[in-house]
Amino acid sequence: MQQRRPEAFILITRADDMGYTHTGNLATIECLRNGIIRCAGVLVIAPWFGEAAQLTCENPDLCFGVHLHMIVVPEPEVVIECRGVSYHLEGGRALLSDLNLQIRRGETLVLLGRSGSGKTTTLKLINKLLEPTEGQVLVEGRATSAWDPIRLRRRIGYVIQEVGLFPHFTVERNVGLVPSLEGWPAERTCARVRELLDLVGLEAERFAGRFPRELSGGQRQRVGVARALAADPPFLLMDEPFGALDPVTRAEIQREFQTLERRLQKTIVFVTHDLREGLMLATRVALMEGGRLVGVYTPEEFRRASDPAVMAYLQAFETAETTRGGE
Amino acid sequence: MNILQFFWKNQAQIYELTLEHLWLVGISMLLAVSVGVPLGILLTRRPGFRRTILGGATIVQTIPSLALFGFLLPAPWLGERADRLAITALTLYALLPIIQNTYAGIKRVDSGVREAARGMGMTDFELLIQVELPLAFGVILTGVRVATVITVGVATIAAAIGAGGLGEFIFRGLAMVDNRVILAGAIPAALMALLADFFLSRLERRFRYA
Amino acid sequence: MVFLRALFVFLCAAILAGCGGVRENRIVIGSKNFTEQVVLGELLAQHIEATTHLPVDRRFYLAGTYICHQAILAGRIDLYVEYAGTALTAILKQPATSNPQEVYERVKREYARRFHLVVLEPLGFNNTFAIVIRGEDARRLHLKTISDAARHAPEWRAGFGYEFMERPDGYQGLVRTYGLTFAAPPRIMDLGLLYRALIQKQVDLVAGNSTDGLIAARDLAVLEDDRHYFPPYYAVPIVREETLARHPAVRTALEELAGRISDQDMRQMNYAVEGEHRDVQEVVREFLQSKHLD
Repeated sequence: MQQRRPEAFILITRADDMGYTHTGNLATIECLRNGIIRCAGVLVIAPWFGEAAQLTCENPDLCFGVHLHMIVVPEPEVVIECRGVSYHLEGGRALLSDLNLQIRRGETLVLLGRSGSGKTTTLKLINKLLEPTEGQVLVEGRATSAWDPIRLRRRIGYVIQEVGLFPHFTVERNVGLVPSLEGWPAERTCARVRELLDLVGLEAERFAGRFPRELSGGQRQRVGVARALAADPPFLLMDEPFGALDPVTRAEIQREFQTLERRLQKTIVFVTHDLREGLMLATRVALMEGGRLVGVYTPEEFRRASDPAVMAYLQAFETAETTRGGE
Repeated sequence: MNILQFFWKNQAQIYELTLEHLWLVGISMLLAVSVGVPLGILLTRRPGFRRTILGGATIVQTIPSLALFGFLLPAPWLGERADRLAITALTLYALLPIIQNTYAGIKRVDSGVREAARGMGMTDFELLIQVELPLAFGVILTGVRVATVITVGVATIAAAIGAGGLGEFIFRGLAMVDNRVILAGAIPAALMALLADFFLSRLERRFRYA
Repeated sequence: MVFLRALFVFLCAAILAGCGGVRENRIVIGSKNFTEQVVLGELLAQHIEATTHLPVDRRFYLAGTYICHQAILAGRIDLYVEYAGTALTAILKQPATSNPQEVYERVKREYARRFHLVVLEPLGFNNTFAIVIRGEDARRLHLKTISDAARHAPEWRAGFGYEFMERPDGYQGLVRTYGLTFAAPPRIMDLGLLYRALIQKQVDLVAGNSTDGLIAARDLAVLEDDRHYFPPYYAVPIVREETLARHPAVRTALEELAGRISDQDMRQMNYAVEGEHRDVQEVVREFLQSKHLD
């Protein structure tokens, strides 16, 4: 009888896969966020982070004779790009200086930094709420100056800290806003609304007919997220969406959002000043300070980074945490 | 004949003059709203016009009503018929509260709501019709209420230039030195103002949003 | 929502009602706010009621010529009594002339053309300015006309009201037309005091209105305006064309009144109401009876 050679499958998939686990015949493959695929006994580094594909064996005894299948998915394209972008206020103050940033399809890019670092400005340049004083912001290859602002914004879900639900619309009408603007038939909108309310953890029957003033802060933000997703836009812009919530609700929503991210497979730009939140939700983190980009890191890289700005940020955060913990 | 008997005996005339008065007020308010609300909306879009438009409306309101009637008398088409003149003057008088309240009501819309609406791709028109106007409606209605009560009052003076309405009773009663005639005009006019105020207040309350 | 709908319906009804002004079968008579006008209005009202049996609504004491004109144009009143001279100068804004026939024709023509208002035959009296002297002087000096009196003017003192002094068709023109010179500059006083001053011989000649009640009640004489200086102010009923079309009987009734009220008649009625404080309705009823018009 011929002994079948043991096989392991290594799936090199998209960058935003988080903790995907597949049990093959012999090996357990775990794809980590930084692109390193660990297979018990085999170490594979994903090629799109600029490093050559390599197969290294940690445990040659286990690996000997293991037949590896590698399926490589091409590097995700750049969908949003800032080229030499500056933004000056009318009085002359620069909120952004010479920003160069590339955001890839399917990733969650967290813009991290303290207040006034230019994160929100960057976000608003993407959906043309602001236009750059210098440089270009490209979305799907076209400069925002060339985009019709309405068409652009309808392809981008927008979630802000104040949520901004229309007080005179029910939850259902709020969530169904963009579909109705786009002229979807009522049935399709209705079905979609219900689908999304379930997605964000709100029971459709209970909440669809309620008004925003009847909801708690956490519930309102969930509706805000649902609203942003209603027309299934490929992009999602989020400006400190969970900042106004109490710590318990915030932690809950963050966890849920983490799960949601995986299911959604959208390109997300997420602004926050909260380091923990940023590291938790990000595929990559872009640290900003004083209107300039310090650097872009994966969460792991961020923690280990030697850049003084990064270290200062980490330290400041830890101090804050310990102080709070001590209370 | 006491006042009640007098009212009863002359009910036809009182009724007729009340309707005349209502008509003057109704047409003027309709015109004032049709002109005032769009102007108020314009001011939110083009703040540069604020001084001109609000200033103009304020000046008109400051002119005493009788003087305003007097100014308009020599005007070519207007001055020929008293009701045209009265309606023009009443409309001008009602403009300021309506323009101001439309402007304020729209401005008061929460900035987060406005940002979310724009960010999600609402055109300016969609924003105006679906968000700003419905949310501002309560405040606009307050302006309409104030304007209506003012108009009912100024319309009584319109009788001085021959436009009719309940003011005619008042002026005739003064010439005749007959209190009953005066009251036949004054009481319905006061009642009209009170009722307008009451019903419009109730309507306003329905449209209050947090 | 029901509430809103009710409000809307109410507003519509009010607006429509204002537009229509359905008067059914009533006649509305207006008048200005002085005694003579109220008397005339009442006279027309009673006569129309008696002959046509149509109900009549009285809207007297309207503030003035302009108000009455606007009211009749708007259809709020059906008729009122105007003075031909006032119609010519104040409403048609044309210069005054002294030919009564010409004034009447022109007013009638223009009113029909511009306003669709019918001007009927004059009621008979001419409420114009009157030069009044004491009755005893008139008899003693055989004075009938102003020209007659002009000869005695240098011996007299005159009294006039403020308006008469200011008006172009007042004092200035009078003096020029008749070549009057008085012993001293005229005394200017309140209209109400003029006749008393005349009677008490503080002045010898005054300008009043030809239908003033006091002229009938006291021994006063009106001098004839032989040079036709003062413009004619004959009283004429003015009616809406529509009213006459709907109620032809009204025209007949009003034509019966043509020329039936003399200057003296008007003075007597004015005095009865103003001087004797009698009820207007009574005074008018008496008059109509006396003229066999009831």
